[in-house]
Amino acid sequence: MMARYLLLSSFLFITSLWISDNVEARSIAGKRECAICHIMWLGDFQRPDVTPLIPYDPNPVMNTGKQDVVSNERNCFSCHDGFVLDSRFVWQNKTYSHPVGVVPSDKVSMPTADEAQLRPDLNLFPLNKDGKIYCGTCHSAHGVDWKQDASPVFLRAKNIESSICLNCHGNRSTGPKGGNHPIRKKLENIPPELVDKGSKFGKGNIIICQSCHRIHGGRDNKVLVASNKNSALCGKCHSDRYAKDRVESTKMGTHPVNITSKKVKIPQEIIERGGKLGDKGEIICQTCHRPHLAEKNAAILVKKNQNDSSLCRTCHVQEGRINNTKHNMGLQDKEDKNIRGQKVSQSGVCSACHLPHNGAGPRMWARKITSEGEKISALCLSCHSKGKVAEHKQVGSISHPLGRNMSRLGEAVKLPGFTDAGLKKVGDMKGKVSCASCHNPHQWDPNNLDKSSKPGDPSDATNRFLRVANKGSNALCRSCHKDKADIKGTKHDVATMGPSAKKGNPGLCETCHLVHKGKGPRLWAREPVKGVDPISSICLSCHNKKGLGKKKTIGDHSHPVNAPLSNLGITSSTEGWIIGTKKKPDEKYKNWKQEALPLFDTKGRKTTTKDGQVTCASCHDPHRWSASSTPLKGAALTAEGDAKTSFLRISNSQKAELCINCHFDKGAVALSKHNLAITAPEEKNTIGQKAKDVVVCFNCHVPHNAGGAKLWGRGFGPGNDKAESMCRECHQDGGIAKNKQTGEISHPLQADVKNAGGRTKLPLFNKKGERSKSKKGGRVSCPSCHDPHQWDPADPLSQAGADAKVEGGANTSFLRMPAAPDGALCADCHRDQRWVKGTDHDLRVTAPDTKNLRDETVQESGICQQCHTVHNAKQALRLWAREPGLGQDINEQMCRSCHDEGLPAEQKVPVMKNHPAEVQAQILGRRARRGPVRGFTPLFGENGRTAHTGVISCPTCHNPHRWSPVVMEYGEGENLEGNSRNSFLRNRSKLALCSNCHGMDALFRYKYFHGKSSRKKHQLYR
Amino acid sequence: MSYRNRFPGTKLFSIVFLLLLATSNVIAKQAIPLGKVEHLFDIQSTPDSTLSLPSDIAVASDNRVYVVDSGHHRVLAYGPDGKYLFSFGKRGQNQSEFMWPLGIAVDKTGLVYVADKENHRIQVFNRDGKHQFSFAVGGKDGKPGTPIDVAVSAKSGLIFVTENSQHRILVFDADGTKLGGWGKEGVQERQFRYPGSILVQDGHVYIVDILNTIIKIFDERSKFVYTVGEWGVLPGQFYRPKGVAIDSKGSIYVSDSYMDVVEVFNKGYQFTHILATGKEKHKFHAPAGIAIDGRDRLYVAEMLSNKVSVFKLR
Repeated sequence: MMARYLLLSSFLFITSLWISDNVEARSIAGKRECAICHIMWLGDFQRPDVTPLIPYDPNPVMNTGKQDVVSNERNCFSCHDGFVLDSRFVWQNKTYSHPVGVVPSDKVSMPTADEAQLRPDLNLFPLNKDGKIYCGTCHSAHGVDWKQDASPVFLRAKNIESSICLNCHGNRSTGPKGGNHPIRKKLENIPPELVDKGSKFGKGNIIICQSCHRIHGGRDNKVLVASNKNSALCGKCHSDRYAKDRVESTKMGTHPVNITSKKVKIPQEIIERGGKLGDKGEIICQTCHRPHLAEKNAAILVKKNQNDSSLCRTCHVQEGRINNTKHNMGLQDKEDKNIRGQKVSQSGVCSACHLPHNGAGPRMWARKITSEGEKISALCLSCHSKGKVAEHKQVGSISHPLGRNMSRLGEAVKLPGFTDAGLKKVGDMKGKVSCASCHNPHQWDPNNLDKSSKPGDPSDATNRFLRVANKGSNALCRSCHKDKADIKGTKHDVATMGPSAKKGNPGLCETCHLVHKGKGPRLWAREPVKGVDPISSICLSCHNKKGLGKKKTIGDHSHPVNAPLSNLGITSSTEGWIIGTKKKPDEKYKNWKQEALPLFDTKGRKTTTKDGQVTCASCHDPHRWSASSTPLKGAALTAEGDAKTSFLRISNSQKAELCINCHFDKGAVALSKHNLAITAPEEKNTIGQKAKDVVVCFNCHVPHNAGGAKLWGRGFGPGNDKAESMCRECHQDGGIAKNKQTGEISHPLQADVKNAGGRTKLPLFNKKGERSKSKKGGRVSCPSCHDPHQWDPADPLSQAGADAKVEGGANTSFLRMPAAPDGALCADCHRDQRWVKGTDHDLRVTAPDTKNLRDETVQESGICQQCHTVHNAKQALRLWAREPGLGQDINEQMCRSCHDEGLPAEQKVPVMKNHPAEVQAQILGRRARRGPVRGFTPLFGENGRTAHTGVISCPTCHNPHRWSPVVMEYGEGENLEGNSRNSFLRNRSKLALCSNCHGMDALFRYKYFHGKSSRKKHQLYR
Repeated sequence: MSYRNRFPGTKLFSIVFLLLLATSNVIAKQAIPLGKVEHLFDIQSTPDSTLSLPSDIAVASDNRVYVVDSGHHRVLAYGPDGKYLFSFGKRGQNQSEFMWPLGIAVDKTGLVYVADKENHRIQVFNRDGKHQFSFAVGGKDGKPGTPIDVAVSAKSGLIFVTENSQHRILVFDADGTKLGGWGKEGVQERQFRYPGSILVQDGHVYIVDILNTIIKIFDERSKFVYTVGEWGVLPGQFYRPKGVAIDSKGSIYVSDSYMDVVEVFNKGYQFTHILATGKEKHKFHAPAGIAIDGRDRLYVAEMLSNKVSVFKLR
């Protein structure tokens, strides 16, 4: 029985197990769709016989808190990994997702059942078992509406245009009036890169929460759709207000972002009000703006800024002082409006001139800019111009230059320059000069920053919005013009001037310069003299007979001004001065050290171009009494200036450093006997300076108050022109160079070079002693051949001539070029005669040892002076330098100086030597009446000079300077045997030599009369 | 196959024994059968970045490894020993650009096929990543389809694509011309609920039917052959099957991306073991696509670990 019971019981148990198992199996099958997510509903977890692959844990403790495993992130991902649905973006940027595992903050308003939009009967957004937000707070597979456009991701409520967000974050939807970024406002141009990153917009392109926020897969804090580092996300839509740096901000007229400022410190107040800074402390959009929960009615600013510009002034504390100055537009003109049409009472004092966004130019300018040129100054001129609010404070047509590069100062200064983009640059020599370089428009008095001013208040150099007070010693001017500071204590210091100069109590600089409303170049404060170059005009405004500098006038003959430097063979450029041209510098002076003195253009502006002109200020620096490194000051008040002082730019010792800086080719005079300090030290110039005491140049020239051309500083001797007179002041009887005179018979002066070769490179001079071209009356004078500034033309630095006893030769003697040995100097004018070189008549070829009357060999005298003497000649005709021989006429006698027995050319004596002397020929015809005719053989009168009627002499047939009439070239340097086509014959004449007179039978006559026997028969030879 | 055991008979001894067990409530749980493998190395970076949500792997006949770096919308190539070689592709819609790629395959000639999911196409590249051609994967009513994975038959050269907007398998010829397909949403033999990874080997097409939690096997003419696994959380069952691969001995490997295991079935489609390293089953982290190379190395794309782990099977 017992066994029967046992069996029955076992059967019932097994049956119950079987039934139970089958029930469970059906149960699982019925729940399968649920168990796709609700995994823990699977009954296999309860099986005692097998081990599941994962443990049973329906409410695991997770990072987000204790919650149902169905809301486990892993559960979601197991489908949303792309294989079933695709939400990979959520896990890709999982760092930036809507927070879970946190208790909702007090800024969040979790909707109660009453507030829920669609499920008023339920608690719409449940928290997990720990009261924290979890996935299931927003998501549920049992969504209220399964239409994709309303609830695409199993949301618990509809999400039309971010409506679900506002269930909790409703306090962020109030728009700017409520201190929030606007939503449901149309955005005209949606940035495509935002859409690409997942940004969404509502119908009609309206802004919704998801335009900026991406709840899953965001790319920055606050689940922003893109990185907002340095407000980059803000800049996507507000690109017109998002400048990447200062330069761009000035171009865009918007407040700079992404910058740090040494000057402007963001106060703690801003931070406490929700303002933020970039990673490195940069100012960003969010420094001023707070997109959510900002102050109400404050344009989502962290602090209201209307009327009083209080937000601006929170950071820009120093600039805030403008409130109590004339630059407060509210004081100047209450009705004045900025470009937004706002009166200052509406815009606030700052925004009367600056708009944080959409300004009209640099510095976010809030006023209409009409001026061109330097950018910052144009802002100032938008008020300080005719017809504008500050037209009573204009700068005039002559004002301190603007737009000049600060680098021109050569060193860093503490005043700012401004770049073309309008950026301030301090202490780096960058930027350009602007109004704001000297003026700080936000402070009235630089020494009392809080000092107030109002329209109509008097002003002076201690205030005027200057950055540095400029009274007295002109500290402001000297901030930049440091090199001008040495004027203090000199004769140009107003303190040393007469009472008229002190009228109005001007400062050191204002005596001569007015920063605004100047009267002439250099902001001149005095009446310039008309008729001269701009720079000289301002110097002469004092240095005239009635001016402050009447004791220091320059006289009628003064150093030229308004003259181009190129006249001296110097090319000026930004790199300095070059002797010669840039393309072809003068090799001879390549080691010459020149200081580039200032040159000026026709408007009086400094220039470095080749056209720059010399003015007073080229040699004089009116701000520095002497050029020494420690300029004399006190002494200059009473001392008379000399060549080392006198405001000269280069100290001018006896070696004439200043003069030869430009007149580089004249410097060698100091090394010659024309340096009177060597040869006549006690000799005085016209202004009484002894040679031993003055600059070498001043022996003969004085830069001002000179006696005539060439700034002549000595008297004038006899002469046909002033140039000769200058030379003969010394080279005359009783003169200091009385031993060096030219004699009665000398090279002709005042001769027209046309009579010689027709042209020359040597200088010619007019009657006044001025250089002049031949066509304009230029004639030969002493300095045509002589350069009184260099003893040896081949070696200007030679000191061989620096001794009064030294006798010169044909290659020294202050000649412009050597006359020995090949006669280059002579040949420069006497061009037809130059072909003698290398011929038999070049005595270097045929008689190198023979000597002329001066007892000189040809090597010593040169080719020409073997036969001709330039000065102190014995014979006027041809300035003949040799002992004449025997002959029928003077020309034959000169030829026979050599062509006779016992003489150098005894081998070249004609057998039948001459034409009958009794026979005189005459050249007829129209051309002959105007003088000797080229092309016809010359005849010679009784004085030996060419004539229409005269004897036929040696030079009638022979040109002694040219070997061949056919070939124009130098001789070969050998003693050649001639023939009828050379031999110095003139048979290149238009009509062949003899046939000129003898017609077509000339040859027969020649044959006849040059025969020994026949000639004897003829009466003319008997 | 169920583990739900059936009582074999009515032998008294057994009944008594079980009765005693039931009354004493001390029935012993059966341990999870484990099969030990050796972890070789992980692929988790390029010289300039780490992987992001790697979703699938393909291994060429020369054992070059291609990894779909889906979070970066690109494909990475590695040498047989895991040395980085190069990458190709970036986010975009142009040729050689990808939008959330997912599956990958390599054919016997070395061509690389990428399921460019959000661009609704298969892109084909040579072994060096140079684009060869692309073909679109269509959906229903002219709308674009959603290619999940791609496989190429070494035998026929046909290209098989899982397209889960319509829960079906599409077949293309080697040029990308659509030849046909089969399947629709459902639980029957030839129906699918989100077909995922696909593998073609030895004339059989292995399809991971994700929400039906089963591996369905067809021949290349779409004739149903057999199934592997079933719904559940016990050994031999699947909860979220994702990847499938076959080793040199014909064993079938299936990854489960929720339970974080790789389960192994023999040639007869019977469950044999769970992969293990050490004494415990190896816990992967959201394993998705898997592949086995000619050296019997198993590559597992662990999406949430942002790595591909490599194991030596034997």
